[in-house]
Amino acid sequence: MKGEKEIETNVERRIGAWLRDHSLTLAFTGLLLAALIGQALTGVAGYNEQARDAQLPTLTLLQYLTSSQFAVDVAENWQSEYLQFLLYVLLTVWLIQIGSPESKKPEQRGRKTFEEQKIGSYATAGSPAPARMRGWRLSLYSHSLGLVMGLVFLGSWSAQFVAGRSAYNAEQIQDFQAPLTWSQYLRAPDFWNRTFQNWQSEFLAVATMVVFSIYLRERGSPESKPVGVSHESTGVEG
Amino acid sequence: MGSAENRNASQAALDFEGSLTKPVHACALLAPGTLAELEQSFGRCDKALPDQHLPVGTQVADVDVYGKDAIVRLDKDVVFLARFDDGWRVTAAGCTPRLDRPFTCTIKGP
Repeated sequence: MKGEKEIETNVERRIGAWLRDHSLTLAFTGLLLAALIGQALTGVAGYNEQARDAQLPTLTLLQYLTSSQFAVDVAENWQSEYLQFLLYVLLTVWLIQIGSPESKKPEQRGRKTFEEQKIGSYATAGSPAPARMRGWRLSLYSHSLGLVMGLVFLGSWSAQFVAGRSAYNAEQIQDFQAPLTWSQYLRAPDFWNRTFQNWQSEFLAVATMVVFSIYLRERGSPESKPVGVSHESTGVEG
Repeated sequence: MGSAENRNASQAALDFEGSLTKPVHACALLAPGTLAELEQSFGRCDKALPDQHLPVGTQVADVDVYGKDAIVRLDKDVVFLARFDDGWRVTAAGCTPRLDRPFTCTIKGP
């Protein structure tokens, strides 16, 4: 009995430790799901309000979740988020902001040496396997974050284009107008307006984060400098 | 014509145009908003519909379906439809295109 209880306590402890160790990812996954549910519920309500006004068919929640209207609204936001992080990951290799914890110091600009990057013969016991390799495999792994972010950006932007055309054409037909071809939609204000309105907000958020973090502090956050560190200190995380 | 919904929307457009000589049937294929608009302007649908002199298409030239909305281009008419719980219903008929503007339709919903 005592042994069983000990095993149970150990399992509980390990689960607790795992939850703590992944709490950031878990919290944001939970927030994502909650926000998606909120978007779906308010989205279907908004769609049906307009449909009832025009005496057109309404959608069930399930129909709305699989509709182009919901898909385009999700995809247009996703693509801009991934573009934001893609640009952030790539531009911070070369561009700096003195005083920002998000920036490298001026002398650290660029891709850095094998030794600094712990790759090739400088790889340590804890280095990921591709870091010990040479040639295309090392090169691929060295850019894997940017590549994956870039691919997800292109995928979600393409999804925005496909779903956006479908949703736009449904509206066109409801307004007794001809639907647009692929090439017409590529030149349509709807596609570019959805794109740019999301991009501008992402670029604003990054620019303000970079500048605000020079002068402002959030004690204990790795996104902030330590409270007592000078405004001029660059690349110091708290 | 492709998917099942393309075929269903096309068939609904053909059924509507084919039953214009039997207005009671044709009126039953109108979307609620379109029926209401017609009756508000011209009185009972089965009496008013023949007076609209809608062109009668018999061949489908092209169909586009996006979710619950469809446009069917017939040989002699363009018909707009929406898919309700009980099937495709005509939202506009007797439609002719205008450059960069909505179609002009003899009967249409709000």
